[in-house]
Amino acid sequence: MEERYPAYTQVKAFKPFHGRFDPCPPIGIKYYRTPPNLYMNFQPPNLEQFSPYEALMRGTLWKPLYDYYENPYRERKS
Amino acid sequence: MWVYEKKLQYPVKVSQCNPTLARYLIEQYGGADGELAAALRYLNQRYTIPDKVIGLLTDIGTEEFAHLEMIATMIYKLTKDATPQQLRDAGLGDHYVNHDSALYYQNASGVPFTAAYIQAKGDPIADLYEDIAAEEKARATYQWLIDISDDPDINDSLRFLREREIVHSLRFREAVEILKEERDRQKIF
Repeated sequence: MEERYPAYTQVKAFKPFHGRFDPCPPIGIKYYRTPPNLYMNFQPPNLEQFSPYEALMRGTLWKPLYDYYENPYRERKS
Repeated sequence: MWVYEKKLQYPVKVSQCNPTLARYLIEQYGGADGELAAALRYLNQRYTIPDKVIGLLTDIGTEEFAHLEMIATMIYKLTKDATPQQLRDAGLGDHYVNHDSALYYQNASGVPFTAAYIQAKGDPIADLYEDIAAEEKARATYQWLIDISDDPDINDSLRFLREREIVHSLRFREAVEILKEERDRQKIF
């Protein structure tokens, strides 16, 4: 079956202001998540499903509701 | 009445001896947006919400206890063999003095759990909106925990819990939609 991709991004980013006298080096980009539930409001019928085993591992039966999370920031010294 | 299944909802594996991580995880155990607060909030709201969404609150409230049990298992495994010295180095010296390595309902800063974390306003929309907010706050907490933890096995379990918050949030949104609709209201034209 053809994989359907969401018509929105699940990660948004913005660049916080960095002042001349801010003590830490700028973090650059700040990220925030906009998971799929925000765009659904009411789940439509007949969405694509994971296999039962896969669903148990991922935490949802529904492919359009799955949202993998990873730390978006890289480590740095200081 | 509940029926107990003697297994975790999702496996909890710990790869490193890291009591500091246990200290952070406590936030989801006895914190304001933790699993205990969630379970108690939903199960308590059931009594004064329209019949159509009582079942949803029972289901999700019950699942939150399964999550609480997973968090408890993580904290227990991360601290059970730690020496007092190790706990002190992890910033858990004050916890050790008060509780040994027993679990306690408190947040990551050691503030004990309070019923003031939860609300039961009696207004179905107000209560469900609080539930949606609670799920999003718990999702965010799981994100920050994943960011701060470098234990891949713990993170795997935390990702599962985060995904459940997303599903629960959608279910509460659907409950709001159900209550907004007028499907079975008597309409006389």
